[in-house]
Amino acid sequence: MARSIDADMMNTALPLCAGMAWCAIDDTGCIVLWRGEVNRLLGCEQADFVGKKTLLSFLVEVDSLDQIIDETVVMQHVDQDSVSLVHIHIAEMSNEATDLQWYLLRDVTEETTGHMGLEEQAFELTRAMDTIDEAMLLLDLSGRINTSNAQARSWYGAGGLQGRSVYSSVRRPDEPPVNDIVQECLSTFEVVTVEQYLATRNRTVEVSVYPMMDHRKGNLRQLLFLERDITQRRLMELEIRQQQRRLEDNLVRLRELDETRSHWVNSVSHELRTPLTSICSFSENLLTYPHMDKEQREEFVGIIHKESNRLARLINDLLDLASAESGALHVRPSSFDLCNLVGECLNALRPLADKERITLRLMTNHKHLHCVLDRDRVQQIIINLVSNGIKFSPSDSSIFILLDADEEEVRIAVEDDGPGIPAADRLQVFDRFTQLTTNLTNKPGGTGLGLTISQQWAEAMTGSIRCVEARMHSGARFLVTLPRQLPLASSQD
Amino acid sequence: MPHILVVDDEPFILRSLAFTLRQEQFEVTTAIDGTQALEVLRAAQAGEKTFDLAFLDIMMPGLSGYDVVEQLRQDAELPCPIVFLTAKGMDDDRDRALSLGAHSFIPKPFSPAAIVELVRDICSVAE
Repeated sequence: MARSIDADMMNTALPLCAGMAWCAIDDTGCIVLWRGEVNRLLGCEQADFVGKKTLLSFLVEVDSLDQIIDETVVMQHVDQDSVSLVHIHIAEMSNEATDLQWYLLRDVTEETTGHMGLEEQAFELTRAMDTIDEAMLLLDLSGRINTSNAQARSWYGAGGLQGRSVYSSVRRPDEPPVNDIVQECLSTFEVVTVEQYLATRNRTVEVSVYPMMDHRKGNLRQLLFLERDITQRRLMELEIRQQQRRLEDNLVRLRELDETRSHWVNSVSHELRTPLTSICSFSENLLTYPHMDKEQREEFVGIIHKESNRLARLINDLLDLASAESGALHVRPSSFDLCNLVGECLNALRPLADKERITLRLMTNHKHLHCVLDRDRVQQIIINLVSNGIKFSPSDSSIFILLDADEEEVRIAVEDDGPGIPAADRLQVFDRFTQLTTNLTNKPGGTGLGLTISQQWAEAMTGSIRCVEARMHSGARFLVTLPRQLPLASSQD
Repeated sequence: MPHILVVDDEPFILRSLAFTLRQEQFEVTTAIDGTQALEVLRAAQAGEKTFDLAFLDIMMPGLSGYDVVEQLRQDAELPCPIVFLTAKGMDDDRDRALSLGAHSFIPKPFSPAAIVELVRDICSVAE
């Protein structure tokens, strides 16, 4: 029987619809006869395969045609710039009239992928819902739970969520209810989001209820209830806010420091430039006007001398202060009589006090007080405190110097009859910045750094200076406390 | 001769400036702080006194040089050109001084010769 007759016969017997084709292969597997959309199904021009290619060569990962009969195989069609997958169902056709093997090919791509896609989509969606950290419920309009995800089942109780009311299922009686949130969504058809704090569990949660509309009918079909635990997020936000506040505080402190530094630079500059201005001006005057009288000349030279000393003292004080700041104050203890030293200091200051008719009164029960301290520095402290007292006291007043000691420590108190220092300022008076801005100006003879430096030295000798309430006057009282003895060994060099 | 007001809380600087200016035959009035300075300059504003120039220290206890000029400007025009003297270390003072309508700004230490030159310059321009 001729092959063409077979083909005609098959064509008559089996009318072909779209997406179908049949083909016949010879005993070598070569496609020899065809009908229908073979070329589209195989993704190949007919001229390229008829009598040339085997059916098997079009099938991916198939060794024998027997494997794929009544199965769906996937064929890869490569076009110029795209690849598509075609699912083809292959059935064997028996035809005893010929020695050819007949196959019916049917394109089942649409039904296969369409069918599997829906199922897969549902599966993937469920899996996605179960993966997320939020508890998720689908509610009907009466608040009954239709669907829940894994997190919801873990939070609200596994099993039996379906059909239960959301109002009684997701909160314990002692916790804030979700009724209002759901009700609001039901009445407004808007997404409602509310944050709640569950005190008994110490958790912060955020509940959102979304209206799910039926777009065809335009009415509300169900609600999506979503609860997420935002405790961690809130804690982190709190932490960030706290850090931000700390940063802002630091910034303020830095600005203050910067301002203080500017103040300090201004003050030091002022203190250095002022005597320097006198020195420069008077020396230039002496050079420019050489014919001035002797008295004037002597006055000017005297001023230059005085201001040079002031500049030198200031520089020494500044260096002392710099040493103190770098922790490089070297205490050199020696054994001496403190009563003797205080007497010496007062004698040195008496001419200054006499000028203002100020009396210096030493009050002590001790005739001798042996101690081991840095004698020069103790002297510096006493002179500084008493000369400060002289500066601030009115004329015809007195300054008390009280000396007291026990086995452990010595106490020197200096009290003047000046305007005094308000209790609120008694700590600041030692701060070099405060000191500089308030006291440094207009105090010829003093650098204004004395109190700061005295305190640094007292502390270097493991003692202290405090500004305390006056006892005998209404003025200022400074109390120096020093140990009776510093270890000699460490510093005898 | 031009009449110059010199204001500084440092007596030596006041003394030196007054000496130099008097040596150059200028008439000099001195003030030891901001309050005194404000008083005499207000008198000048009222026409009771006449100054051709005022040297005004900035950093003084109580009223600063800035305060004095600010208060003067509240009432009326400045009565004479103002030259600020300063021993402060910061440069931003120059801007503030000039924004207050000062003629110039002289950092300490200064040379008396330069001061004399400045006075001659300002007063001859003013005349």
